[in-house]
Amino acid sequence: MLEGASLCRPLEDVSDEEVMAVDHAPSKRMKHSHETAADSTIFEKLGLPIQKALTKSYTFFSPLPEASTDEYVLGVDEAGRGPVLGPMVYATCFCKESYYAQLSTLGFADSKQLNEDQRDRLFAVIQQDDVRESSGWSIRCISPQDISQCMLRRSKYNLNSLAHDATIQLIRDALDRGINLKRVFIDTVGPPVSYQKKLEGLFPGIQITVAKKADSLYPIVSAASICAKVTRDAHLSRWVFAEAKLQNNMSNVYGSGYPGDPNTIRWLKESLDQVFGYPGIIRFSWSTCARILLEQAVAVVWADDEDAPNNASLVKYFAQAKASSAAAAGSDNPARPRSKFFGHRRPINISVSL
Amino acid sequence: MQATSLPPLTASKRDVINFSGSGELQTIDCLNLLPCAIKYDGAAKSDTYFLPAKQSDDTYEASFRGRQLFGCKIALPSSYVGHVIIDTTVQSNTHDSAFELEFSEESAVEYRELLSVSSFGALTVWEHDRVPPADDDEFISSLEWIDVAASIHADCSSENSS
Repeated sequence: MLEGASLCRPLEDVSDEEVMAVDHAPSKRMKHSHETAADSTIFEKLGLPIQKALTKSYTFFSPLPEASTDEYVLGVDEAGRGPVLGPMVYATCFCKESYYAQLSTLGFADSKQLNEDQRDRLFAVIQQDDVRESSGWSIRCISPQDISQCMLRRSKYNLNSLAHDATIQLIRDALDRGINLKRVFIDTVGPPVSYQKKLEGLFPGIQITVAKKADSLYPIVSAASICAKVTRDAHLSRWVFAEAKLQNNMSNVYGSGYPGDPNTIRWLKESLDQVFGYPGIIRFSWSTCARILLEQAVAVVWADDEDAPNNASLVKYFAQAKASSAAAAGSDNPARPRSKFFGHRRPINISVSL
Repeated sequence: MQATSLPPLTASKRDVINFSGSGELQTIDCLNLLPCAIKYDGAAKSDTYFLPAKQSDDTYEASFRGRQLFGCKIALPSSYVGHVIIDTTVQSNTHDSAFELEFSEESAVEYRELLSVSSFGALTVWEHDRVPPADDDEFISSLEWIDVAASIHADCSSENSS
């Protein structure tokens, strides 16, 4: 059994997101269960935070096989990149090279061709003791709030970067836990060649294959895809609102969550709050949302908005209303720039008779 | 819905502000100054959607329209009190004219009557993507101005001016 110290990094190495490293001693390994992933207890037994509001991203590792020098193959895939709501989940599944042939017979196919029941069943298979002896999996669950906040930063952090960084972190975490990776297969939506070069540079000594539709080519990627999808569905179907007052008042009939789905659009229009827009389940950085907010919610202007009026107008918006007298104009003589104390939120001297 | 742009209610020399109110002013401690312009005046479901999380002693984190905000509680200078003021002018003909500060021959309003409805001694100032107080935050600077002005105008007869 791997020593606890090598599984958990020191706290200062952990980023501000929650990292959940599950370290099970052999006696605590999950018993073989016929439960499907649709049953929430499978997630609770694993230790996934399904019952808490998902505001911050987290990383989760399944219990690991016993330590060895065995070489491993690892697959990476994601779920929930396109939808306008819910988390985006990156997942890995890894197994011993000696076990790969056997794993490939368990029924992993192109995950998009599997229905929900088939995915749930395969996810349960992955948790079985005999499978777990030679394999493991992990996820990086990126909360919708983090997606919004990253993409709306003053220095923008786009979705591709989020995706790449999640993948890189998961691979690093596996290596840190002593998984001796020899081959890694990654599904991509962007150009495979440049991404593969980037990863080869980061992980020398590992044979990296980046391919589109990798989940239909490599069973280990399909297994990862199932872990990603099942986790995302688990969060979404039992969504816990950080906005507690909405929990019983907001419809959870989102449709597919994709921007092209009329049911999703209808939910977005019906659930709109004039001032706040939406709860944190929604990815505000999606143009779908931005458009609805623009058309139907009150206007909110940020300093860095492309649509914001230029600086002079913004100052005018906050500034004291200009009296038409020349005296006021004179005090704003632009030839002499005002001290920083008199910026747009400046104090105004008014006399008050008591 | 077309959001109409309303200028903020800023007082001018022609307004009459009633600070005494009808009784004791209620002190509020939940004032938030956001780093954006919300072009709307009215009720908002802040307690439903705005969920500041305390990070450290005086630092908070929140989210607004998907943007990450960091806030810190700023106390007003000790000899000052903050007031929340509303417009109670009754002679306005239309809603818009209540904000008409230009003296116009058509407007019957020569001044507005403003009423203080609550007071505060501190507020939370929020920044987008950076932790306040930021060096160039003009609101906090304007509070600092109060101290600077006091120093500038202080009696310095005991010092030689040069």
